[in-house]
Amino acid sequence: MRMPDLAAEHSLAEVIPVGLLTTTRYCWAGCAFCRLAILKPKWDLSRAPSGLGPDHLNAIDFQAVREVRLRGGLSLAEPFDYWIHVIRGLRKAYAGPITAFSPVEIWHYHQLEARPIRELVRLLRWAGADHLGPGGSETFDDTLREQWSPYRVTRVEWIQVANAAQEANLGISAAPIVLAGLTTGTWRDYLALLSDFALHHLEFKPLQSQGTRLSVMGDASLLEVSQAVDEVHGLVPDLPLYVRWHSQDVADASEILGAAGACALVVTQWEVSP
Amino acid sequence: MRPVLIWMPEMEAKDYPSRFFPWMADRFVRRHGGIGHIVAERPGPWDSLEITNSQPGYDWYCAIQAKPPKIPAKKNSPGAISVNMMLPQGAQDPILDYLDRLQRLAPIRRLIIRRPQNFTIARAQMGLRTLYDALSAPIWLNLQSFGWDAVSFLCAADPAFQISGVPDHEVFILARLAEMVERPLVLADLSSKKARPINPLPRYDDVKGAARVLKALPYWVRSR
Repeated sequence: MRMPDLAAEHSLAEVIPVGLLTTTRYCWAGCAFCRLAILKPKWDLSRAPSGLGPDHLNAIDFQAVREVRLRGGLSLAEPFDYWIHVIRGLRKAYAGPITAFSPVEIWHYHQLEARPIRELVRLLRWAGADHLGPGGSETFDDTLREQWSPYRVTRVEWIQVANAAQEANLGISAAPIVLAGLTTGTWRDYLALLSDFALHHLEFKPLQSQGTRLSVMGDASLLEVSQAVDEVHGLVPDLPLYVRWHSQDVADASEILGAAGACALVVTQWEVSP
Repeated sequence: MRPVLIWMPEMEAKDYPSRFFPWMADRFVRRHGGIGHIVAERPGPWDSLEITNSQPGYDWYCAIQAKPPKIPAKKNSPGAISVNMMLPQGAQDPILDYLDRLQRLAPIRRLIIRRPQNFTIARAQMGLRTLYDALSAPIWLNLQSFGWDAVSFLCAADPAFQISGVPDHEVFILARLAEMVERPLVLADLSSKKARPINPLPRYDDVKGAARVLKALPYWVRSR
């Protein structure tokens, strides 16, 4: 295993504190790696407790974060237009970058409300969102997708939504899951699919398996993440690489991953769930 | 062949009430298949033993806190010495002179290094390399002060290092690290007992079909 040389000239990975707003914790998709959602079948989902409301935004300290992300389960309780108004309210309260939803949610509302994808992403942009989240790009490997998240968007659907978002002037990013056994070939295939997009950044998601169906695989270690960052940095040196970091100890990770080629560690500052 | 990574269950007398310590140490060693290292205040019946108060002929566990302990006279020299110390601040650190004097008294079997709070990994790595070049004694990294992230990185970068103070419930992390750095993991202590190889953790097939996974789970979690 090749380790980055800390003695060489390199910068530390910057730490980006983000605030997470959860629309709803209820979801029908049941993806194997998801730690957020509480599974509820579709027939019962319209009776799930209501999601995030404007009142939740009042007590938030927006000064502490550099980005706000709106994410959540696939809900049938609130229509898409409801969330547009929430994002509108959020935009008034917070001037920094807002990442709202992802191709997974957009595809969900596209099917649920029979509305064109372009209309949905334009509405997002109008409401004040700057970026579309990377959801759905965890893996583009068909075998893994079938095993982990058969109900999540397919590769083709993800690309369709990302194209529409790019046309609507929404920033897009990708977030591959890092786990043991990924090779340079895997990363080359992954990046080849994204070559048509002007990605804002690539954000590695180290596998957090505790409490999920993948718990036997264990969490991804710093060495695996460092190796993945190093390989991708070698393939696309100009693309900003972020790492979603869950551990409390940020200093060591920032030093090692910075040397491997990561620009930033994304850490959760606060999280608001309904 | 790459050097082995050692899992050495270690028990220190200072963490336990002295009255019950011999009984607990026996249990501790037996619980680890007869392999385990004991750090006691006075001599005892254990095969792998170091004592904190130096006595002639016994192995000495020399813990250096704010002030280093007094070096015994040559005629009272211990068998071997393990030094538990903070990573030196630089080549001029007075602790290096102290180590030099210790080395003349008896062979240094291992250096257990703690990491100062303000040390970055790059600085710690440089300090460790300097120390290794100066003394060429085996270096064990104290897990509590370094943390798993730093320890994993240092062991992957340099196969000479060992990890000290791995609690039993975190041995699976050590086993995964051993696989990643391609070093065989063994259960061993400082006695002459043969080291016991630890098999790699079982690998679960992560590409089995969705239906097989679903059927293998109870119905209330099948869709999670």
